[in-house]
Amino acid sequence: MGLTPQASPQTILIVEDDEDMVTLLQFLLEREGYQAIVATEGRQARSLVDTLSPPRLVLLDVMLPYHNGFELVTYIRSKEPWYGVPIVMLTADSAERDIVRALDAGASDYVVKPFNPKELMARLRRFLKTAP
Amino acid sequence: MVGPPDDAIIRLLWMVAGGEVVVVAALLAGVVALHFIKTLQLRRRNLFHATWRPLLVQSLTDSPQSVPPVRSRDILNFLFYWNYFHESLLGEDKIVGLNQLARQTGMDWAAKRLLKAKGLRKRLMAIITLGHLREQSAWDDLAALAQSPHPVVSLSAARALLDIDPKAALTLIVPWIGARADWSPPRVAALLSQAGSELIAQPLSQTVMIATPDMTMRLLHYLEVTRCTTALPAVRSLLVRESTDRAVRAACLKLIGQFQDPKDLALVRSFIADSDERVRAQAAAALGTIGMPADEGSLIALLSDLQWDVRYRAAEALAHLPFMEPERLAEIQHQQTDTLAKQILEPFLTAPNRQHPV
Repeated sequence: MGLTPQASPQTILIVEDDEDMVTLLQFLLEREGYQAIVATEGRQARSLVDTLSPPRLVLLDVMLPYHNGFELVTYIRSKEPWYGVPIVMLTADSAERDIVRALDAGASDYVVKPFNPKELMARLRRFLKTAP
Repeated sequence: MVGPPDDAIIRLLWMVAGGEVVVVAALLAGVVALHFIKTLQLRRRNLFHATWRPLLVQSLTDSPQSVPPVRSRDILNFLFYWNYFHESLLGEDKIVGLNQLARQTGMDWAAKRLLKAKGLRKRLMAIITLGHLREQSAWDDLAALAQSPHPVVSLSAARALLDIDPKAALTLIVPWIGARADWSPPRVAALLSQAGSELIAQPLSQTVMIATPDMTMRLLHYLEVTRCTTALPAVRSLLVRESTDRAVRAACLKLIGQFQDPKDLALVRSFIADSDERVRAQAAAALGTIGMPADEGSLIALLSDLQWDVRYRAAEALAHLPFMEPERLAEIQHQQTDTLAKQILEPFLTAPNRQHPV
């Protein structure tokens, strides 16, 4: 995990507990010139929210140890410097209600697994263009 | 008086003590060996990840210039991660890249060899890999495995065939779907949904016309869960065919009711007074979804049917007719002279549910 006290303007926080998925997401983001910070569980993600300056975007899995994705969305939205950060959630195919729950909790968008890398990047670019 | 210890007892004690030392030493050696093996496995795993994870990810966008050979002990690991990436991602780009990497490393041959492995895990890995690889040369082997008595092996092989050539695979698979009661229905539904309504309509339509009642019932269920409306013409033909089993006819009407095509109104009406109660019940239910004000009378008549299920379906259908108002339903109940008819309407008056239970 890359723990830095100051997130660079090109930083994206990935919160995902599956190492292989992390490698894949990191590769896709770094290819586009972004720096990825990774948290592999909910507590670590909360700690990053408490200590880091806001990244450009948060890519957040739903199923995570300690704190799930919905709790983390609520937590991020309650944190003053982070509340406006776009959050894109990664949800499992079969869990349509997760999508509704994620959007209700304050997520900006969602991507269903399995996903098309091009579609994922297109969705992220939509927010990265407008994010400060 | 106590004499000197017997030599035999001392020897026995020495032997017991020696034995204990040997056991403890063996246990210690075992623990050290296990630790060594575990460390070695972890090192190999880390080495494997360090080598192959970046190459697998890279292959999604561009073909790696050179790739190291996959060691024989790493083949299963490689296939596991390769399949993981296949299952985690969508899009033709990733298929081309990952498949090129697999062929570059000789994993197509390795998978074909594993098809004949004794272990179930190895065979399943091979089946899934060959499906993702769209390996046409494995077609015959996979078709044979799709008829295996093992439900997981056969269904995985069926899915692999579908990955390789959906149209040709469906011609083979659909009759098997009808025949295999041991195939997991959600998995079969997922498999058919993956193929798409357009592709499954024709083979399903053809098979329902010639299948046994049991098989047809199963196939109609899959038409329902995959919302395959393009197969409706075959369902209509099956419904009106003289020789069609009554239970199948009821299933056809259920499907027609679920698909809610107004064109089927006349057809449904023609079964409302059928001699079989299952058919009458499903015709009533279907009228509840596509019925017109003119159908109110025939549904009211069914409120006094001898069979509880028919009465209940008729009451439910009346309550769910799109134009039905609670006041009119109460009026209908009031007009009934038959106690059974009055009773069957009661729950729909006290707890009206305007949502149709489709």
